[in-house]
Amino acid sequence: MSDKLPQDKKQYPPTGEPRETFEGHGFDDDRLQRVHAQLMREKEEPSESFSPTPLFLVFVFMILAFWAGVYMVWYGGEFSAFHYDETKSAVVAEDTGPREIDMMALGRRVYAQNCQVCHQASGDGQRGVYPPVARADWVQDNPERLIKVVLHGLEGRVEVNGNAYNNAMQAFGRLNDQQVAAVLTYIRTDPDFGNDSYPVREELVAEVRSEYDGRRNAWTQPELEDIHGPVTGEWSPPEGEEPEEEPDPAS
Amino acid sequence: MSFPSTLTEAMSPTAEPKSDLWAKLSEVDRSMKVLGVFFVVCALLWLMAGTVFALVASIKMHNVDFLGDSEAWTWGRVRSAHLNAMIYGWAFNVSFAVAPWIMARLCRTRVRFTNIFLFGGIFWNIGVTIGIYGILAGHKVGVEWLEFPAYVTPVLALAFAFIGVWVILLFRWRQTGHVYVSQWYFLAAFFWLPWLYAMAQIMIVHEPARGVVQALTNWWFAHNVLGLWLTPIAVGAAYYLIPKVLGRPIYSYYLSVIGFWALALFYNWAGVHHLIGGPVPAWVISAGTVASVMMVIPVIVVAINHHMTVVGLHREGWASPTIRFVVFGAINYTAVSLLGSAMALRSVNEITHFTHFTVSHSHHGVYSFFTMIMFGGIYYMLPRLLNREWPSAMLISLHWWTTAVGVTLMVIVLAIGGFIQGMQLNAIDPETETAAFEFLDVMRGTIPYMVMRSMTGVLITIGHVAFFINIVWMLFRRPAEGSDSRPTLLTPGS
Repeated sequence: MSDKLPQDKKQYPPTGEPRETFEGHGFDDDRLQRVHAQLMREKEEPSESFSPTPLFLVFVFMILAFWAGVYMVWYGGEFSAFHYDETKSAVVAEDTGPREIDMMALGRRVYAQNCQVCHQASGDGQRGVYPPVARADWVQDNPERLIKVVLHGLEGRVEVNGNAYNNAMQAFGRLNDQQVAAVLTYIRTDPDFGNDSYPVREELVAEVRSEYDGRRNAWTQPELEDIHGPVTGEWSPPEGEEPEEEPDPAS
Repeated sequence: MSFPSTLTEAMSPTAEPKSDLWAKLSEVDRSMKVLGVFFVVCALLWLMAGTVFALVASIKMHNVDFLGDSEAWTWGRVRSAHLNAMIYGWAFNVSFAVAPWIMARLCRTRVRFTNIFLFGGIFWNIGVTIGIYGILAGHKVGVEWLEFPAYVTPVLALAFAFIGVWVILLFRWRQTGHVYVSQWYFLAAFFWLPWLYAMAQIMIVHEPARGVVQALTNWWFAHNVLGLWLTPIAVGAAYYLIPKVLGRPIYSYYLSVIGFWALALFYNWAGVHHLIGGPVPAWVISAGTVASVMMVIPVIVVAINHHMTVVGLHREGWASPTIRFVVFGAINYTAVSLLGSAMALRSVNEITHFTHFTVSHSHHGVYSFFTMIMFGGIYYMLPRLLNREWPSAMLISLHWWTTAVGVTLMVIVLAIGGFIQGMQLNAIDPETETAAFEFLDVMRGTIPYMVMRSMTGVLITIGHVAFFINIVWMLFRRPAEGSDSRPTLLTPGS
């Protein structure tokens, strides 16, 4: 290679310094030795020996692979895109009919999410602003009146337990029939609220809702009294419509 | 001609004689000088910046008011600035410094067209600088590991494309028949990362995928930056540095092969374990868990390969700054990976997820493993690029002790604190069947660990300052003419 270098290349620089080449020099030049001190003390470039793979590793790999297969069978969700819980089988369980809903638990949750802000956790409301639901004559009265209030709201002057309130309650028509029935059952029968009245059926809510389907504006007390008469706090279901079972107040 | 010291040398007597090899390596070092020094300096500056961000973010964990009146220094920004400065600033730059240099040495080739690499590197650093500024200015993308604002990421992707292409070209120029294991890792890493980064940017930032796929892409990317970029770079560097410094061939070629291909096969799946408990189809998470556990294979294979190479040479290793850092990193690679496999199991992940345990694990991986090996790489590379010795063994020693002790303590403190935190968060009061601890009480319980973490952070900062001083000193000091050049060793007389 060096023979073929063109003449104009600085083969032998005038300073006498060695030029960079790929071919060896024998490293007799003292200065070169010093310049490459780090290099000269280096060990060989890395290489590989060919020790065989330890046998126990093969066993480890096999155990891991076996475990991986078992894990995928158990927790693979049968490779379904809609299967999110790896602990459940993808096979649909036997249909046992609609699930029993605990109306009191549902009612408690609906109350906490929607009603509690104004009517308070105790149900006592706030004097002069929010009427109470606990120990309230309205709550113990005809459930249809309550359903109307919940579905469409209530505004204007309202008298509850003899105290006057003047505010506007928003409509909760977005709650479904079951939720409305549950929350009314809850406030009417839960011992903490001290109302000791009757539960409200889901079908009753559906009836009221379809009866006043197009209604947009809130109810007022006089309007409700025109339909149901004045609030007395005394109400019991008409004959033949007694609920089959008393709600369990402890649930 | 010395007696053949390895099997390959004995089998091929026509292999290059040592003096010829030294001449070639000398040229490689010379041709990589500008690149190596440029990236080491960039990496060093980012390391210092990232350390400052880290300290601020850490102090904010227990002193909320600290720098609280400055918008740019709120925790949410500083924490992201820390992560991005350390990963895209420090880790990438130091990879650009060490990996191509080792690659060039193993290819025995004088590098050409270095301007491509330098160009990519300059734009990479401009991109990271703008990105960090963007994060502090509040332009960040709310996706972990991809926080850089969308206006800077195309620059980064393009800059990396230049760098990646150059490294692949470098491999094409190789003068050797045999391809050494480090080269496999580096070549693969420089292929994988551009793909990862481009896909993640497109599917999350520029043309976002919908729903769960976005989250999957996020963790596929974030975990693969660790597994398919930082890990191959650091493992490849360890595969070069350990046998090189100790002068002993790597224990087994076969194990190297298994380790490399098992990593390539399994790591890509592993990121999904970050979404355990998320609304992801069960089989995807199960596959991620299985892949994470199967990562045990490449890890123990690499561990055996490295251990069998080092074994018996502990005294020599302890004297060499390079080997101290690299072996520390290699040991922690085994530890962090096995721990990571365990953390990917659903039952463990339920406890550790969303706690400081995860933070401990990520520092274990990126610092104890990756960063320590890269420190070792710099300690080996820089004297050869500059033809100078390290000015102060004392500073190297200080760097070693503060970072090794500091990061180990940090990992332990955060792991304990995080585990307790996870147990408390999950605890159920048997009577009420609700959470046994208030969230705020659990948070308050972590404060002592956060204070200890800041203290370990200060320790690590001291080490970084020592490292900084040593490099700057080395760069600006002119070695006395004619003085003897001796290796900077950490134990006298060895």
